[in-house]
Amino acid sequence: MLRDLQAAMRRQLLSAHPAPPPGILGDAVPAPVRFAVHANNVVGSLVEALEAAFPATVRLLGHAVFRRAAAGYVRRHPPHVPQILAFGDRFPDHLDEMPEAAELARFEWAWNAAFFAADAPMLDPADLRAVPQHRYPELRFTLHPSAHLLTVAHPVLDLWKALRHDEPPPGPLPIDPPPGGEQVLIVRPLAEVCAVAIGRGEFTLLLALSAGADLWHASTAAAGTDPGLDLQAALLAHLQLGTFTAFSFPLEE
Amino acid sequence: MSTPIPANHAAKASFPVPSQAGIGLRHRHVAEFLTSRPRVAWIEVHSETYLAAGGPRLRALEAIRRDYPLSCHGVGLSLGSAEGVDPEHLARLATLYDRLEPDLVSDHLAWSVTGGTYLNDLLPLPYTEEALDLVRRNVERTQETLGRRILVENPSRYLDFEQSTIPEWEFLAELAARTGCGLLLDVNNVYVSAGNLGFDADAYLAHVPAQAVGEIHVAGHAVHETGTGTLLIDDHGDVVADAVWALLASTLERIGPRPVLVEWDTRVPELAVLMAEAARADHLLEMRHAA
Repeated sequence: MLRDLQAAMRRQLLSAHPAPPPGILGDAVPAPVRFAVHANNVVGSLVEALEAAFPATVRLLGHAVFRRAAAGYVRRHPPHVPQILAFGDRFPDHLDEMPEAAELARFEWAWNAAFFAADAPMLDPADLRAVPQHRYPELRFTLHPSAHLLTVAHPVLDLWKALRHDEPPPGPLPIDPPPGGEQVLIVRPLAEVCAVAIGRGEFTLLLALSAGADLWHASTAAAGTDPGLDLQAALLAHLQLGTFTAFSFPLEE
Repeated sequence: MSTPIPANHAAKASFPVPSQAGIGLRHRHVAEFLTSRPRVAWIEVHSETYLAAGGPRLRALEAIRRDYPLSCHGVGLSLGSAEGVDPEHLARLATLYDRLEPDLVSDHLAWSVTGGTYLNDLLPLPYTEEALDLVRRNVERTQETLGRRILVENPSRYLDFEQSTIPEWEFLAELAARTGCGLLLDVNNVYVSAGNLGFDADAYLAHVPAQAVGEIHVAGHAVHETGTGTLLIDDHGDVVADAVWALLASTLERIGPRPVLVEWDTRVPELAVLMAEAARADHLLEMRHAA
């Protein structure tokens, strides 16, 4: 039965020591050598897909270490769907024994997600100016579909920027990560992906807004993590960056 | 049972791309296409490379597509899956094709999905009545969902199964006859498979039903010495071999002009190299047009 043959082939193709299932013909070139072409294609092409998705992590670890880790991931977590751009979502967790690489990979995956996210217009600040000030607390903001908020224990942004341009990593990294880690916003309002470090208060503000909170509740939560947060400056910065795509009032929904 | 195909789609899919040489559009050349619109008769992309909700990659293709006939070549439909084609993947492709409106749509006589795992390789089927009936159902399902005719490509083969009873050309001819699908005849794959499995490439090509062929592929391959014998590896990483050009010439001689695609996927060179390969294909096509 075809179904059994395909299941048997899958097991062998993902095995570290692939052996051909019965029924494969050999001649001068024996069946195991023929079957190995496909086993190499399967694991090799999926490792290449991970290399393409995590270029900075490849540079940090070096090709040999990366490929070994990637092959292990491919065998343990092969893709479920023929959508190679979606393959690798759990790869950062797979690198947990190398925390710095794991954080960098987490960042790169969020960067990819922003790159391939749906397109949406930037919120036009002129529209917002038409809102009477007394209604500001009720405002709800829709974050751009590409917006990703990330907390990383290691400061990855400088590391990523250096690796991206093929420069040596910036100096020895602090042995003790900064308390609370680094907060990063990744967003692609137009064609370019922007990745910026943001303050803890700003991070809380955006996280609350993205969860559907109105401005009053979101800013109250943000002041709880950073009492010194300048709300107006933060909103203006994100309007300029393109973090928001729309605003609404709860009553109009 | 044959698939009912809406008349307008059937008409649209019968050689809408010119019978000239096209090239596979790869990321490395996208910027050049956007800025200088090189003189290429048509382009082909791998559908699955563009399965994203949005972003610059898809936007660039949409912009380029406005100026070139487009073929969308799938690598993930897994028309040979015993469990059937995945309706969710078909839906993803349908969304993409609604957006790009490709002039040709194709995939392979192979499988890559089993038990909820995608193996990212064009894996071989034993050519049996069971497999033929299965692929027929999968092709019908695909054509019904997409509302159009698809082309099915002969894969590169590195191995065969004891169970196989049907020659590949006959399997494909039967598939085309039963489903109304067209064929994407990859002349390099015929050459590679013939070398690896020991059949006569000319005899194979002489049997392919001419009227079903909607597109032809050529590409480079690698020669791999295994120690006990030679395997040809279809790596799309080199110029087209002279023997494959000769097969293309004799095929065009027999079936008439068709859209011919030059594929290059590994160690992709600068665009000028692909253009030179396309010019070589165009030269053979012109000789055939003039004949």
